[in-house]
Amino acid sequence: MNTYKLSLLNRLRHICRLGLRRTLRQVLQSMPAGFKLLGLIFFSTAFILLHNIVWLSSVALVMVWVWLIVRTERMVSWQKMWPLALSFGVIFLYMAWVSGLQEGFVALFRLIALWAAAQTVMLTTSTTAMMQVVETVVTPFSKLCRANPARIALLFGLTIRLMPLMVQQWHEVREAQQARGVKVKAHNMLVPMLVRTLNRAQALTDAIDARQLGETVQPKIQTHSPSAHR
Amino acid sequence: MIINFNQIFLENPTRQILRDVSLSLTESRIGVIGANGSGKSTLVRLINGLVSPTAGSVVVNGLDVSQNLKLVRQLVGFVFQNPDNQIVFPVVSEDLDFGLKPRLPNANDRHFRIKETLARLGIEKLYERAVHELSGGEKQLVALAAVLSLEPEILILDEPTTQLDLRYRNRLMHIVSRLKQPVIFVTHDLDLLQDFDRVLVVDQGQIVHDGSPRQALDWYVVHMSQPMGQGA
Repeated sequence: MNTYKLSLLNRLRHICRLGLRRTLRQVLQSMPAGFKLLGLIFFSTAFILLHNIVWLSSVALVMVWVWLIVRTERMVSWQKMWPLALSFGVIFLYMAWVSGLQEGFVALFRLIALWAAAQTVMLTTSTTAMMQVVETVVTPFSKLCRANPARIALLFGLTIRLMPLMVQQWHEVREAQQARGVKVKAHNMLVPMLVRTLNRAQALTDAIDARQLGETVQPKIQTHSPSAHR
Repeated sequence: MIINFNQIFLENPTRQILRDVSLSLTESRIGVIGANGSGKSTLVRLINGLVSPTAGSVVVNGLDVSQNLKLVRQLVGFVFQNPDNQIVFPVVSEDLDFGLKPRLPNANDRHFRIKETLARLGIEKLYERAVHELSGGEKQLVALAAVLSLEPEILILDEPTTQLDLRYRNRLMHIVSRLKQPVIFVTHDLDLLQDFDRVLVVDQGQIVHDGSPRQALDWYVVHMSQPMGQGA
């Protein structure tokens, strides 16, 4: 095939991929959050019950492909993926050792498919929408458990927000220790991570209280405020 | 604005943080400066009830903070030093939206308010951005937007420029200078308070100087600039 036709084909492929990415992303983003989360639960349950390795590997491949399509980043960063790959590898090896190679692959493909499905839902659903679902689910039980649904939903949103912060914190502590010539080991990291996490938790509490997040707000009243406005 | 501190004492088991502080704050732009551990942040945290005094009372626009905490917190907006500890949602628009929900039940109203606030601070392009991708300066502006979107009557900023570079620091100060609300600004940076109406100098839990920026800054430079361990 000559260079011109090859470049045209690549261009067509790029357009199709772009179109498919946009279309798939739009379709998934427009689905209600509750529908997606419910779908994830059913999918997970069905997948746990499935044992055919051909089906499992096919579904895992499809889910990874969907995940790759809906991502906004073009490249997959090995730096971000290696802990996950390591965890999956350890589980695969353990299952293969205990129950045989086939069981190892069954466990591996299940993990990959479930992870990719969960990631896809996360990438195509706003935190606010997910929190709305959490709040809707918790509200009927709120009187039973004396729980504030808005606060529980806030907790959910905070967890998502804090994940990259905790990773960043880990890197900062590790770099500080490396700069001091201290060997980076788990027990060396524990105390600084714990102290910083507790400090962050306190600061977050203050910020949440100051903004009155997750609380009912009384109507604003006219206060005695001689104008000091500019 | 009237904020009255009435014979405030605040102590913890190891030391006295604030000692016999009595003040009346009415000016539009008030600066608070002091050394590390002087009590300046604690002083301003009394205003919106993040900290409670051991003795004495704080009254904000006629409302006793200890008895009207929720109402006072509606009036007083607070911006902290580290924006990562203030922004609680992963996307900028989500963070502002959640804070506005109790006050503006209508989603369109919230959307409009958020867009308007971000535009006022010149960061409307950050609307759909993930917070963890933003620079420190952008995060601090987003934190400020989250507070301003609630339309507080009084704004307190506790060392908001500490983690900012010169460009964002100047930008933040330009925004602050145009705000209609009275502002109480805590900082180490003496240069930022030149145009303020009043500057309080806090040292070892007491207000050691209270006056115009020029007087307060001159006093601060003379008395506070000596290295630690040397007498006055």
